[in-house]
Amino acid sequence: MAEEQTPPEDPRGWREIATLVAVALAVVVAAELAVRRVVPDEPPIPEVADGVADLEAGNPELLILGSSHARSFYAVVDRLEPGRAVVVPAEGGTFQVFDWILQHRLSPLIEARTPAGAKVRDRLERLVLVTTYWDMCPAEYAHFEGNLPARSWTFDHYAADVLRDGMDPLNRNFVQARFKQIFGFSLLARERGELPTALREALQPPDRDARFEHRIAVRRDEIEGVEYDVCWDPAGRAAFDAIVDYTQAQGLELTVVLFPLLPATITPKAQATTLARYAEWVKQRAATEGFQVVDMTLGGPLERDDFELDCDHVTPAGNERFAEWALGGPLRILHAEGAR
Amino acid sequence: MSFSDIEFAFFLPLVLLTFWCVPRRAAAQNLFLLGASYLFYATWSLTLLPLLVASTLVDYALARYIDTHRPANRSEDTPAVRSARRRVRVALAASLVWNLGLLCWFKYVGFFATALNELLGLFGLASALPVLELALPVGISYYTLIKLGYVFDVYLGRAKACRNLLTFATFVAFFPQIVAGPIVRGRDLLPQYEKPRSVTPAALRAAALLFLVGYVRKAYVSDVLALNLVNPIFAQPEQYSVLAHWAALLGFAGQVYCDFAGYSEMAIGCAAFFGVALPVNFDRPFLSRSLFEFWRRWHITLNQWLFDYIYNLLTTSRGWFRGRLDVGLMLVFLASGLWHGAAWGFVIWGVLHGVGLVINRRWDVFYRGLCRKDRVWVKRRKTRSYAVAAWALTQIFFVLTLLPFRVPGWEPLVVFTTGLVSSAGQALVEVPGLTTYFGLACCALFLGAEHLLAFEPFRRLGATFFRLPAPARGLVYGLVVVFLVVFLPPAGGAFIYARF
Repeated sequence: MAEEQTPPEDPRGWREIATLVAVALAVVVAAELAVRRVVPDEPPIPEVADGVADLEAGNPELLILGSSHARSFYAVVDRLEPGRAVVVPAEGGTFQVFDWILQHRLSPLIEARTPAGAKVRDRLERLVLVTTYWDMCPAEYAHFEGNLPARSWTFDHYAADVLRDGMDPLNRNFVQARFKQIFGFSLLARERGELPTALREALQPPDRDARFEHRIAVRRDEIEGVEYDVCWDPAGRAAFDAIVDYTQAQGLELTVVLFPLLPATITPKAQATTLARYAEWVKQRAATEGFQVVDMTLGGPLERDDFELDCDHVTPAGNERFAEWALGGPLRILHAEGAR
Repeated sequence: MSFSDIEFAFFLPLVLLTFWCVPRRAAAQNLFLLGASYLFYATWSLTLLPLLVASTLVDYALARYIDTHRPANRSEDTPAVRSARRRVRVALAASLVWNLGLLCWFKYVGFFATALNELLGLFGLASALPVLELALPVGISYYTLIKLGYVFDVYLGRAKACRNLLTFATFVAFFPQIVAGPIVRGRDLLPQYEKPRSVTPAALRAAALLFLVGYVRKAYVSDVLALNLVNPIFAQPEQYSVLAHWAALLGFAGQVYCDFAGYSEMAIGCAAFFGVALPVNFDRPFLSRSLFEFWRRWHITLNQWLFDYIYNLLTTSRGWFRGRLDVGLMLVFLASGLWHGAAWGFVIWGVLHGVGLVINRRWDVFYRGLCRKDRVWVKRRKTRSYAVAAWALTQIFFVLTLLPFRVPGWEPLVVFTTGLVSSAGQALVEVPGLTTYFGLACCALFLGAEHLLAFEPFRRLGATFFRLPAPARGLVYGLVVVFLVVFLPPAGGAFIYARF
């Protein structure tokens, strides 16, 4: 082998590279600042890791697990006694995702014991599962399989998956999510892929009513259309049963909440098919397994203005209305015994 | 993990920084690069990594054996020389059987079994052969040719066998080239690995620029063409107009070019970060005025390999193939078609190009005859109209032969080909709108500008850019990065040539 060679030093060349990089970076920073002036920088949404961290730090009595709709329960938690409840929201979750989170992220904390053998979180008494009919869709239909690695995995899960299957489009979601997390301070990085639309909308705000009507039509199609045929995924049912079994094994009460939908999106057909079949199935399981169901799909206080433009999620003001109504009525049980 | 995947954005800086912290000795650098390359390969498939390692060991040993036993004077005809010649021939045959056997096993066994079963079915015989569905080891088409070329070179005395296993293993597995080439030659690359590498600011600048251009080509141009034009129209051609059919076909030519040329540029740029110079793989093929020129500009390293180790060896051999240039061309492109994939579409593509090259060669011979008779034909060949006609004919032939390459199966092939002439569909693009047309216009601008840079006034313009002060160039690079961040399709596709 040849011996070590010292490369010729070229300070001017290195200085030139430093200048190129510095100016290019300055352009990127300027673009970031320009985009920030136009596109609103919305705060990041709470994720599974936030819920897990809250559970790890506390000893709650209620554990509220669900998909993005569970985020509405932060307003509920704020009205309860401090430390009483923890919310674990899984963006784009389905029952398979909830089951995975329960088994892999929450159960180690739920079952954690002191050296003396006592439960560390000995106050936990109830799991509140926040769902809609959507949670029973098969993963390949819901197109949300990527959300599990992106939003629920830790590095250990990622490494184990890569060792088993190699890098693939599924586990790539984990890296993409971490990349966005690392560059979370940058709108350019965080909103990559969405920026042209966001910029266009910021410069030329869309007609809110027209978009709302369009989304209502889309949601009606979604709910009453093909979905009710595919909402009976065996894997989803098995995951639901696994959640029920787990809560029973841990001696926890289970409350399944069917979250309110925007009334305008619910057609008579959807009510008679997708939603009725879903609610009936959950209630049948409740009768057999002995858990509580709170069906809020219809009849809640939420109206059109309480929903975001996606016609699915609730606005902050809507969440407050929802919390006020729910704790005064169907979810009164979430209050501590003496406070009800 | 491929170059445009998010993981690579973590992998490359980490490996690069560590590499330049490693003691500047060839052995240390090679050891680190080999580890990084095996790690890179393992991210595709950990279970197929041992195959790469075993394959490397076998060819290292066989090449060493050939080098050691090759007779010094090949023209001598003593018993000892004959015996030595026989031994090295056996070693060469072993390498051929080993490499081509593995390639056939993983890539072609299912294809041939299916074809044979279908053939038996035509004669009313029960299909008996089991069709194996094996995972194709990533890069096997590339590293097989790299190793075979090396063993051939050692056998033919064009190169000495590498004495250091670490150097040889690094040469075979070097991560920028393992997945999709360029198909490097041992005699060019091994000397580079035998010396400690360093990098100069000029080389680093050139490498970074090449990597950036390759990234734009793949992640923007190729993916925008695929997502906005090619994929939707090829998926449901009956909904689209005749113009859309042509746009999709031309778009596919641009897509496949940018996909692979982009990969090659990223590979060359990436290798240069580590002080390794890989050969150029594409040279503006859409400027070609003959098929021969086209294949000297498109996937250069594969075609050089095929011509060196199949065409030249056969047509200059002492046997039946000697001087049979047309047969040689047909064989080269049949091999090229099969190399691209185990499917009839690739075989047809290869045959079409073989025939095209035979016609091209015969035309050249015929035209040379005309020129010898009358010098006016020489002048005619130099006219602009001849050049335009030759260019158009070459490009149309290439674009049309992409059809069997892109469309799987006879029926869809007929549907799409008919759509090039007449279609009941009316649509031009899947989602008409500013975003789609802006994206397609940017792609056309990129491809047009790139090819125009080959011509003198534009070349000077390009050179002027590099003479601009560093802040001005930095401004342009920064704008390119911002453009990519804003407009890059969020879900880019995999590299097409990594599948071959």
